[in-house]
Amino acid sequence: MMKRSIVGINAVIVVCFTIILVYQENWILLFLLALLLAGFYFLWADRQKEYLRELGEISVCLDNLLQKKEISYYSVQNDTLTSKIFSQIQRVQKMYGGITALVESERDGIKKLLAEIAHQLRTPLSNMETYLTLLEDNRIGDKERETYIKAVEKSENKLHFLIEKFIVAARLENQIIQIHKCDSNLKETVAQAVFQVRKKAEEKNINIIVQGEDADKRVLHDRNWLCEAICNLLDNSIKYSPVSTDIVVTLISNEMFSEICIEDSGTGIEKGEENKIFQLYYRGKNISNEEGYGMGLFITREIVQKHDGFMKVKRKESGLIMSIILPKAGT
Amino acid sequence: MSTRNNNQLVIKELAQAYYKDNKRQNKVLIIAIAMSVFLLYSAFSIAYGKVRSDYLIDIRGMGTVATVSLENGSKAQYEQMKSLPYIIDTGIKKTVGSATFQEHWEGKLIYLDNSAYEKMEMPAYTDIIGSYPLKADEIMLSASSLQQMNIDHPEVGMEIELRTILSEGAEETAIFTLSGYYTDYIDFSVMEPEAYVSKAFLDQHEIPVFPADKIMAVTGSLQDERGIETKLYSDLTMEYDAQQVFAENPMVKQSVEGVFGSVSIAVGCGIVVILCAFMLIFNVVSITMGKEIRQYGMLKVLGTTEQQLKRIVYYQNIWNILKGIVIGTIAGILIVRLFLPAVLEKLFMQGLGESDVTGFYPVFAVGAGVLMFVTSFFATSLALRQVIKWNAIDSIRYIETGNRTKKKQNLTTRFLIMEMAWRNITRSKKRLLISVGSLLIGCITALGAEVIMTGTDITNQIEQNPDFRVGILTGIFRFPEMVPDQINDDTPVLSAEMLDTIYKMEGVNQTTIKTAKGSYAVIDFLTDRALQPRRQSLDAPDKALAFATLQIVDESYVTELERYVADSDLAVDMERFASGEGCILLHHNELSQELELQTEKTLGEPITFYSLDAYGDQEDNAVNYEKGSLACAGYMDMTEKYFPELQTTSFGNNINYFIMTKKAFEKLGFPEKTFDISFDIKEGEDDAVVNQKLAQLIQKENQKIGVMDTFYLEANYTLLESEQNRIDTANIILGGLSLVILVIGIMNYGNMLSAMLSVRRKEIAVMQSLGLTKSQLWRMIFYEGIGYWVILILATLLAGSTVLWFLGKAIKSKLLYFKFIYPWQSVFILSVAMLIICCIFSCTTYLKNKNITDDLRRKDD
Amino acid sequence: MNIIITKNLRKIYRMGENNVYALNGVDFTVKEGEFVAIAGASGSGKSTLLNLLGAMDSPTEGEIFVRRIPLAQLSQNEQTIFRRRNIGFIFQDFKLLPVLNVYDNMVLPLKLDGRKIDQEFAEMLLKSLGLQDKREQTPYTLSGGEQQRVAIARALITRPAVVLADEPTGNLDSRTGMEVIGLMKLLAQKFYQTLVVVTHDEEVAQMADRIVRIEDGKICQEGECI
Repeated sequence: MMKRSIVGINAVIVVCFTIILVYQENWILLFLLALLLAGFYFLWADRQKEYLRELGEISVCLDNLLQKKEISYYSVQNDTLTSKIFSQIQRVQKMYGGITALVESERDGIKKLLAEIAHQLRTPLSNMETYLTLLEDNRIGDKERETYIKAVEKSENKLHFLIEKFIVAARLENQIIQIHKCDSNLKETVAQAVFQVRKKAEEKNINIIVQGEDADKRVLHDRNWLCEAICNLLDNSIKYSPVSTDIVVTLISNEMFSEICIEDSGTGIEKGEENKIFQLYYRGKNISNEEGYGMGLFITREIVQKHDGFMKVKRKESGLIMSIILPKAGT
Repeated sequence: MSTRNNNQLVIKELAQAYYKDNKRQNKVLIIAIAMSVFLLYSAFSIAYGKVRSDYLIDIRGMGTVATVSLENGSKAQYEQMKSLPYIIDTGIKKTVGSATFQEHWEGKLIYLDNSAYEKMEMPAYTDIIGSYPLKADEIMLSASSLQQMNIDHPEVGMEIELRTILSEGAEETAIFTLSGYYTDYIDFSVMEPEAYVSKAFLDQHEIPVFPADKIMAVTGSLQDERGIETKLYSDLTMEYDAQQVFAENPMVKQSVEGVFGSVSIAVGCGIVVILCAFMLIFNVVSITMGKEIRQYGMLKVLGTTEQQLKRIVYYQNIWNILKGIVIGTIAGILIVRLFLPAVLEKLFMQGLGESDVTGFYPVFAVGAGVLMFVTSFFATSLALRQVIKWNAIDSIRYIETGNRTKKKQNLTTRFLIMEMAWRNITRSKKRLLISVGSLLIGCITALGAEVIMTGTDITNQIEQNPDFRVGILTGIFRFPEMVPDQINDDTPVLSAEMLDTIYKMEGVNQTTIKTAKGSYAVIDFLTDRALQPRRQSLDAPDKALAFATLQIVDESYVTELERYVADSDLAVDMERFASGEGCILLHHNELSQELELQTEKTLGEPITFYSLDAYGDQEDNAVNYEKGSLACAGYMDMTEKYFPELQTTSFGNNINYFIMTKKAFEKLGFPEKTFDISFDIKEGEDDAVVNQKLAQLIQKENQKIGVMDTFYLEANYTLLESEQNRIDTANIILGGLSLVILVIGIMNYGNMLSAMLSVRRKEIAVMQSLGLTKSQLWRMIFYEGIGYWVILILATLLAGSTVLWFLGKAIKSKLLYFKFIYPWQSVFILSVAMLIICCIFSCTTYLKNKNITDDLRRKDD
Repeated sequence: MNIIITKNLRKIYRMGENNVYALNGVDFTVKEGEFVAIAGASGSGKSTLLNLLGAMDSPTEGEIFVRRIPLAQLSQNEQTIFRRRNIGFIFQDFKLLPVLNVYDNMVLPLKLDGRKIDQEFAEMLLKSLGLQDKREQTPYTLSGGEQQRVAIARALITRPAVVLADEPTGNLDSRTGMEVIGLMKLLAQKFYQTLVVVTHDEEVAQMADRIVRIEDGKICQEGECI
């Protein structure tokens, strides 16, 4: 509205001027006025062209983004709006490109896991086959029978374990089950995990102490999955701790994070292994005779990452401190 | 042109944040800019006022704006003149007759037409009350006329009875009504008072307007009189042979000093002020930037471009600049408005009434503002340029250029402290230059003002002049046609009665009466060889007989002359002169070199003097009238620098002036005439009262003789008064200017010191921890102050003296009476004042820095 | 993709007659999204390397490519704008602007580029770094640790592609330090940022994806100094 009235007023003024000049027969001034107007028009038209061009460039850039073409880097860094927009678009591309890459690599990882598990299933299956065949022989003695049955049990357990993991991995890969985060108390999740491993702990007479329950520990998390993650860690701690030791689970919370700290006095890991232990199938150097497939920590980390958190490892004189760090709501 | 990024807001915010942080610098800037704007505006206004005053002095002194007039013009000529393209206005002045009021006042009855009154006479008058007469019985008089009539409180409409004598001869007494009165500034002892009557009066007495005594005109350009006269002669058809065109208003003041005198003064002032302001602003901005340079580096790291940084600095300063300009302009307008008319009156108007300036010049205000804006902008961008190009990292790591010498070995060496102080002073040449420089400008301005003041102060000279002087304006040369009928050998110049009246006048100190005595004579160029050089120097050398003025000089003058001749080794025969056998011919630089050589041959040749009666004789029997002859003792140029001062009666070229001793004069036998008389009044007598009496006397005498030689009266006390006024006002103004500039310089210096302070704190803390005791710190700071002072004084003496010398020369070329007096006193006072100031600053610096280490420890840097 | 590539980087200072090699032929690459820790003794050249990566200083020899742009080809102004849009820098000695309060200091980089301030994100940062009660205060009134946290917030608020941090936890106690690094890591993951952190704190280094050591101006990896 304002714009139109201003244009109108200006036009009226110009017309008046022209009339006055014509009336005065002041041709020189009239000519100059005409030149002036022409000049202004030219400048305005040029400006419009310029804007169009810039917007056109931005549109092309966005098109490239949609088509997932790599946006060539505009090395001209100006303090102009266009330059800033290009910069931002580039960033967007990188970010989503990166995230896509991440997602893809995750998926690849899971695929590998599945392949591995399938491969691993064969061994216990063939073991069971062997022992069952042996069991069919009537000639074996009671002691031998017991041993064979135990072996079959063991293979069955292994199968069980592998299939559990298989299911987990499958679910993860197909994203059938998303991580549903709920604002609930971490304490209870931890308690649940501790409960789940209590039997194994009792067997080795290991005391699990849970600390830091005073403060409110409401964190956005998926109880089941996180429980799974904590279980894995507790499992490891139990596995590699000597009998009659303690495992301390500390719950820490501050402005930014909540942390679940699991400290054991077990065999720990070597220096430099901190990053490696999360790799798939990696088994630490100190595992001695314990069984394991090197998958637990991998899965744990996946779960934690899905919670937008991360993990920390700290070596002790004897033992290990594993931490799960989860962001507080709003991060 | 691409679209600008939408990040303009942050610049403003940052600028505002920094602005708030720099309160002191802001105040300094604002004050400096305000003062500069004020000074510039005042300077321009005063210059303009002076130009206007010159114009007013010219027209008021002459009583008219008209530049040219035609005598006895006819109606046809009037129409002709009106149509000439270079004539702007034409007016008619008709003398109707004369009038008297009792015995007190006598004057002319004049009719002016509308154009003559409004365009030509009125502008030369002030305080006009009432209007030009319309009715036949109305009359308009000047305030001075009314005063002479002893009417002290005139009122419009009051009745005045006058005896009128019209040009036809009719005498009558009539009662006139005063239609209006005005203040004029013409010298009423020279020009006859005028009373204005209406057209109706003319009609009533059946007096035709044409031929008009004067048709006056205002011409378009400031052409000189000769030019205008010649043009009119050619463009108008003269009614009769002797019809003359006169130049009315030679615009003396304007052409002598011209507009350019005032303009150059204003420009000079302007340059000084701008320079000072520039240095101050540059310094202040540099200091601010020096403090903030690390932050600028940080801003650069964060992504502030040079453009943005520049705009932050400019934005910061814009506020100060604008505020300063506004304050300065308002102050300037107010003060100039209030005081300019008074200033102009005292300085320039020389008693000729008030100046008619409005005192409000928006153009100048805008000009001063714009100038200051540009200067500030320049200073800011120059200061910026030094800093902005730095690499981000370098800026961050910038520390005030520290001492390059690292070791401070033994802090107890006596000279070490002095050395350190010296090094501190010379640390930054640029800073030293600027702060001392601005102080220097202030000092030099003050001294320059002093020189101008003392040099142009001629009050002493004036005081030595006699209190009053009465003499004649021209001389016999203007009235050749009256010789010898009305003017002969016996006709006195100053009449005996007049001399008697003066002698007997109350208040006159008779012992101080001095007179110039001599006579007029006729000389024959054809017969006397000695006169040849003179003849050839004349403009119209074909005349045979010419007038000569003979003046008697006394013994003491003869002695002076002898000394002068001896010193200058001139070709003058002083023996003959002193013995009474010879006479000397004086001229005003009228001889060419060749002619001067010829004069040497004239020594001893006789010069014959004839009685004035010879002039009228048609038969050229000059010989019959010979009175006597004297030997030519030589020619002398009166305009030479060391020529002993002589009170002559007539001035100018083409006058044949002879001096001789009394003995020589008596040889010739002319009766002695008194040319002029000068005297002092007795102690305790009132100058004004005596002045009034003398003026009346002169007026009467002037009217008696009619058109012949007009007498003038020179009252020294008016000259003295106006000169004193002028000096006082000029003192105030120049003094004010110097003071302000000095203050700016001091502010600059002080600001620089305290800014350097905050930068050196760390340094001083380090030194203190190294063992610099408080007393050593005090001594160091004290020596620094003294060091600055020494540098300043030396610079003032050197640079200042040079500038003053040039200044003296420049002024001397314009004003001959200028005397260059080196302002030793002022230099001394200034030095002491500066010393005190340096000491005060040193004290403050010390007090602020005593406890640095403690302060720094507390503060987290 | 390699977001940072340096080739044969050298930075030489003249000290009187001697040449001091702050960096002596450094070939260094960082992958996009990586968290790299640079460790080394003081004077080993870590800060110099960081300054060069951030286009704040120019190398005496060698080339630096960030996002495949050769930094040497950019003019000063272009470098400044490049920094503004792509780099978040945390200095060892914070360098806050004393004329602005905490909040304004933090959002300054955004304003310089005319970008909108994400209020939620800003609040989150303030809260996470424990500064929400101090937002109106000026740097003079803050302790060293608080100032450092403001500097960290300032570097993170633009969510830059590359975060260069020089001893970001120097003035913080170990707990707070860990939390800060944790926050940085979280954000880096979420917004796909690359972190290059110079530190002498082993615990901080452990949180990185890769640790690189510098000694006497040269990079040492896995025990070998090239």
